[in-house]
Amino acid sequence: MKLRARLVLAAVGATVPTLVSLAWYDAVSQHRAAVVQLTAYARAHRFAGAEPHDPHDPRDPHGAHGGAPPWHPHGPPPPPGWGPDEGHGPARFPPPDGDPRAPRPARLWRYDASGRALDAEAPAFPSALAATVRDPADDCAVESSWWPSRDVRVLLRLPGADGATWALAVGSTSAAWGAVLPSSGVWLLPVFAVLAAVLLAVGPVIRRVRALAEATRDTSPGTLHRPVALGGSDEVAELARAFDHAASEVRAGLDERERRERALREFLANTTHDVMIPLTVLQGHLSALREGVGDGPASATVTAAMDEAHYLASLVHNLAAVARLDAIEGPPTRAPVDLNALVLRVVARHRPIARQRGVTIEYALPDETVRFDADVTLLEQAVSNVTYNAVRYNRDGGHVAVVLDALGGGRFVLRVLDDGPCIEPAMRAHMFEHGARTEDSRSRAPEGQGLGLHIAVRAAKLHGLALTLDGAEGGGLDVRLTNA
Amino acid sequence: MLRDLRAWSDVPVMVLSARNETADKVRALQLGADDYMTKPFWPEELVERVRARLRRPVMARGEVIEVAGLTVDRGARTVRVGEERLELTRVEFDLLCALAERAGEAVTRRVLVERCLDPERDGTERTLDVHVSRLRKKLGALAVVETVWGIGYRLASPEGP
Repeated sequence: MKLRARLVLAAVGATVPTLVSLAWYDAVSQHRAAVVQLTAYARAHRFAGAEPHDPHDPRDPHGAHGGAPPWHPHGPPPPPGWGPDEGHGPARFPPPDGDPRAPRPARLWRYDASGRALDAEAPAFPSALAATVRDPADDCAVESSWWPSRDVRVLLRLPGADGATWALAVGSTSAAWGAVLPSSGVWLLPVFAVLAAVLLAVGPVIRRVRALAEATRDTSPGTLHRPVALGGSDEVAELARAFDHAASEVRAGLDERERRERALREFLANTTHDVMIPLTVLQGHLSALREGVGDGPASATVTAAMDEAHYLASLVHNLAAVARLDAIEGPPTRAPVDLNALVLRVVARHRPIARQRGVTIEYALPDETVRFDADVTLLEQAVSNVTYNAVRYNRDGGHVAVVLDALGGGRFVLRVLDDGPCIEPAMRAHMFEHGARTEDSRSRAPEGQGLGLHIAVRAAKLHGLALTLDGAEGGGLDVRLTNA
Repeated sequence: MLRDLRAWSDVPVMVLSARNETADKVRALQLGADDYMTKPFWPEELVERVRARLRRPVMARGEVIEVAGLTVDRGARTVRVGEERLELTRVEFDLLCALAERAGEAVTRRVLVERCLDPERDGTERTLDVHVSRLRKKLGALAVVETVWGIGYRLASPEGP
């Protein structure tokens, strides 16, 4: 919930119940006081006029008629406000137009034992109220309700010679008795003033917080290059400064990381470069040596040495590729790559080693040149790894085929098939997931397939290509790379 | 250096470098190199790549292809071995044509089926194999149609890989 709404709700939630309970208490208090007054008055009147009034008396046929009852000179004076000459309004019936909050004059009506009124204008006998006056010691009952009204009704039971009669006193509350709150209502003014002040005071605070949110959003997201611009010297400004400080620390951290990545990439590029030159020389010598020993007993050794040199080159290139893949943020550098030429390069690279191992490696290209936007180094490394694996895990007399098929519309399928050791579907899935090596290959080629396949999978994903491993018809693997 | 060379010569240039960065390769090709080889490489590899670069494409565009001791006339739809004319069926001729156009290179079964066999009449790879075997019989001593594992067939050519 928004701050302002919450505050309004809290303020209203605090003031309204308070006001209501104050008003209620005030009403209760007034009512109670009025009851006391009315009861006392009624009793006094009863005692003062000992006999029940004769309704047929021609002098005063209506008994307590006309507002104020006839005051017996020995009776107690009427409570203030109920007397005939009070300033709160004339004590005559009907009450004239005047102050509606003025206390209305009290009226007394008499009823006989059966509840019949002695006065024609008397209100209906409140039998429910009478029923509550059971106890002989009890002699009055007050009409009450949950919200005390201004009208007060008290029912009195008067013992008489012929049995009990009833007197109903009807009056109203007066601000003069028992009022808790001032009658004019002026006390509401400070309450609302305070409420308004609170609501107004929160306005600027919310504006400041919103300004901070805006300023924070303005700093370029992700890079946090621009500082949070928020003036002032209050707590919100302090928050802005703290945020800025945190942002600059993050920036420093990011910069540091970028520096380290750059340094790593440079190191790898230099190392690769420095290793490959002597490795080329080594390969040259080994090749010459191979020719020199012909088919003699040393040929196996030289072949093995060539294998290792080839693997070494592949490994270093793979490590560089992994570093590249890790360092790439976002899409790789893409340029159109001639896939036909790529296949030729890859096959040419592994042909010498294949020949050593007695593995035939062939390729097939479509009539047209297939071009694909990619990072040529990563893509070539991926294809090279798959091909090298196919050669490496094969046996003497085995075959490897690299086939590029154009499907039209720029779509292609690049397949590497071999008839090497059969790999179970479960193992294939595992290889794919983790770049693991088969149990069989462990003895023949201690180097794992892992890294090469891992790079192929990642490079494929990076370029949006699908790489799948299936079983080839004659055993072995059928690896497909496609953008279809 | 490459730029200077390219100013006055179109000689094929292959760059040999230990740098395996894509940016370097792209740049080399932009500056006028024809090919880029990363170290390390085997000497045979270099030889193969250079040969591939120098070899003229065998996809003959003319009507007559002369390769591997055969003379294939696409217009007249005749094949001669020297002076002798070979009697081939339509499918067999199409097959030989397709292989001759890509002499020295392997052609996939799929491509051959698409080009040479009638899809309505049993155009599967097995039928293809049958046709090839018949063609081979007809070529007799001239055993120039090679089976390539995992791919299909190839017309052997002395200039081939």
